Amino acid sequence: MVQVGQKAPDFTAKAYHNGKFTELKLSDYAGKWIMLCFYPGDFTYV
Amino acid sequence: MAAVADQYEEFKKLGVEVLGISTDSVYAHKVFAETSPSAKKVQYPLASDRNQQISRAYGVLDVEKGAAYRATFFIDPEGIVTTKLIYPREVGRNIYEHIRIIQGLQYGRETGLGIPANWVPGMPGLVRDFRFVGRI
Repeated sequence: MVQVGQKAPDFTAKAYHNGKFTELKLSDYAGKWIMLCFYPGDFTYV
Repeated sequence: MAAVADQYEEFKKLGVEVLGISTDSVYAHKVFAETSPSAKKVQYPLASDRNQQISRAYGVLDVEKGAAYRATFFIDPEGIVTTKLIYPREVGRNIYEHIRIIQGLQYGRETGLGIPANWVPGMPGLVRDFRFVGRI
């Protein structure tokens, strides 16, 4: 469980971006503000 | 996630990298982005947490459903989690509040001031002085 004030756990994940499959690594964004949005699933109502 | 897409330019202006993530596969993300009218506008990466490890590490995995909660984390340039917002499954995010939080975090960092309740850009911050404790 991540606590505020702690280092964000790094991860690597496959991603879909601009029509392509890519690989994404959180630490590649070091030096930038990040808004990481978890959502329950594609094709949901909200 | 379309609501985030609608405000994407605003996040860009603030220098914020937006990442969406769910436990769906990248293939589901692709079809979602290609077919859903609301998802078509998503400009930011949609990451796949297929093995649920990331949702678990962030403490937002709904183990009954095998899916993540609707949750947002703001991570600062040093990689520190500054904020976690967890929404009910049934209720969508308030994107304007997301923008305000980022603006407040950035303003606080630039000025060293505290950010009062209902602050919006243009309003003053609070001087963090021990003499003011209990006087505001």
